[in-house]
Amino acid sequence: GACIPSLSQQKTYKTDIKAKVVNPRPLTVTRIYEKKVILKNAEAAAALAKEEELSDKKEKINVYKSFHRDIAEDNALKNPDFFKVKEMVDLHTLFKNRVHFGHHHGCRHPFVVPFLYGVRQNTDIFDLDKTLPRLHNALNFIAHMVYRGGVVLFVSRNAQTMPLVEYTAQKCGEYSHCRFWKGGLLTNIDYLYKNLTRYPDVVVFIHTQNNFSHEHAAITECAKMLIPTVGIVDSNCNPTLVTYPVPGNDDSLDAVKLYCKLFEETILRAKEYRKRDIEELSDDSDES
Amino acid sequence: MAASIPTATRSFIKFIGSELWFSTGYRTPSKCLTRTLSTQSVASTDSEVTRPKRRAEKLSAAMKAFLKRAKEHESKINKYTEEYELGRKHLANMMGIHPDEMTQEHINEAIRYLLPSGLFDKGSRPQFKHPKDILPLNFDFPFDKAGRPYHYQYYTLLPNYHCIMSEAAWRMECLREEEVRIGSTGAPPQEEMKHLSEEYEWMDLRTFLNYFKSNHSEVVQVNEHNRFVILMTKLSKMRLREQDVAFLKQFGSPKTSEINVMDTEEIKKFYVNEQGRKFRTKNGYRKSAIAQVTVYAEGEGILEINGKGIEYFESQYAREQVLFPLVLTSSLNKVDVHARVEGGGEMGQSGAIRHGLSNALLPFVSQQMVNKLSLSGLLDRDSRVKERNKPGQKKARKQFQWRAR
Repeated sequence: GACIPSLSQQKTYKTDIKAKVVNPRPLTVTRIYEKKVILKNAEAAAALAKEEELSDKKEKINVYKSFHRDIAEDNALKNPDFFKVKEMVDLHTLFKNRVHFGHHHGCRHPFVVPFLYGVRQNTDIFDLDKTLPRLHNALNFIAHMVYRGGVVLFVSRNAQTMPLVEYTAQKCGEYSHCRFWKGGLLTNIDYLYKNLTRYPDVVVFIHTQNNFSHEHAAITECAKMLIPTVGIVDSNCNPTLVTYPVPGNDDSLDAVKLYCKLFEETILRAKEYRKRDIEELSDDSDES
Repeated sequence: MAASIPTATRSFIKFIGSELWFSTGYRTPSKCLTRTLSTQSVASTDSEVTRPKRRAEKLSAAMKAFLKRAKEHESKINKYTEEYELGRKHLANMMGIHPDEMTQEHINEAIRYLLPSGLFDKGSRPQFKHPKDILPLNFDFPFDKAGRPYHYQYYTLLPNYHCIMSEAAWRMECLREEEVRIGSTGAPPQEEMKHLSEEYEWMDLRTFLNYFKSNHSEVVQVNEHNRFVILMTKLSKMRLREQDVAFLKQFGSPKTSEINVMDTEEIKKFYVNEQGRKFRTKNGYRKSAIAQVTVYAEGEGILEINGKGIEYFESQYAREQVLFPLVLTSSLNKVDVHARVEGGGEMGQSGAIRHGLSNALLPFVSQQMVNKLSLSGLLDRDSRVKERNKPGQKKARKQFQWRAR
């Protein structure tokens, strides 16, 4: 039977209570409009108008300025599970591949506590009822990004699983960085690369920690550059800066093999759909 | 929220966010998805969104930047080639050769004569070459129109080096799995797996650095070379398939060529007796002992020292010193030794015989063994001598008793 948590643990645990939303507001995105400064002096206004005209004509080196959409995304967004991600993973498969095992309770990170079910023989156990929907969301997100032609970067700094991760990245047609992370790779990109390079659109962390059991430097860099991240968060890891944290085991080989298999499947499926939908559109629409 | 986000992603966020908004007990700060560096005005985005049909393909900014740079590079090269061809014609005229018959060697000679320089660095001396040889040619565009890099490890700054290393590591993993499968189930291997028969020698540091600089324009460090050597040696010691052997042969070759330490003709000299037996005499020295040693080839194992056998030396250590070269070359019963010793003591005489013996054995022994003997130090004269007494001291090192005053 499961072990009963002690009194001290009872205090720290927070069950998944639904928050009472007092003033419900829909999730809207506000745009920052350019402030129109109304000047009393007509000359200053004319000068400002001139500057604005010139600034529009100047070419701003901007990677996403000419980001063209080659797929109509509305179809994909109508269906909540367009890529049939929920068929890929079961709760049973997670359990079988030992995803629920965490570290010793002494290594526990306080922010991971909500994802834990309990402790058994001094090891933290993850609540798979919470990991499964998060895993589905993460896979769905990756699939959507790949569907639109996004660049996925796999990051991990574990020597045992490094060949596996790089092999999966190669198979998918995506990218990997399982080596020493040079500081400023994303924040100081123009200095390190000869050519103007494209930022990765998603960064997937299979191990969020580096060799010295500190947080990987890429997490903060992605957060600074506003690159969404998907990360598998173990019980000794910090989940705050990861956009799609998937609480689960990252130390056992079976679990990592499962994650790699799932990421590979979603990416290839999304690419299939992209190919299919691009072809369909090209037949229908007129080339403008 | 940050800068303007197009409506498609807005609806995407709404859809995804609504699920997560109420399921988490806490919120993370980086929930804002996608990022835009652009500060596009409102009108342009609205006009894009209202047209759901496909727009004409536009090049990404990365591609545009590259094309600009490529054009500049091309114009530069064209300018330099024009100057080069002009100069070449003038040079040919000066030398009195037809420009078609003029080779690079002619040009080099002429430049050395016309513009002599005393600079040590050959790269900084004046050169006259085609700009393609001088300017960097590796102007590859490592990504396609959309900006996606071709190499899957482009974001590590040394893609080709890390590709090789990860391929080797992956092969090791596959081989380990095979071994486990064979060991646990007892099934035969899927492909033929063999150990390498010879030890392999891996790429030199210089060749390694040049390989990456010239082919892929990557700057690799010494640490990377060390790791490369370690990984390859590890891989080479496992049971390998044919494809693995082919992979390894790109970076190494078997150690067949040995460095011949001594390869002179003097070593191989020997004389022939009246009875037709080959022999060689050499002097050996140690402290104040001098030994004359003659070695006869195709012998039985006779050992004579001043008319006596090995019993001439009473201590075991001295006897071992005399026999050691014969044991090393494994020629105890194949060779006859006759030695004459004078001077010195027991140990000095035995050392002198050893010195003479090992020098006299050389023509009757393989080149590999000659290298071994020279590297072991048996062929060197031991120059250690008793240290002299010094004034103010009792002996060479021993000093008089220290007094306080």
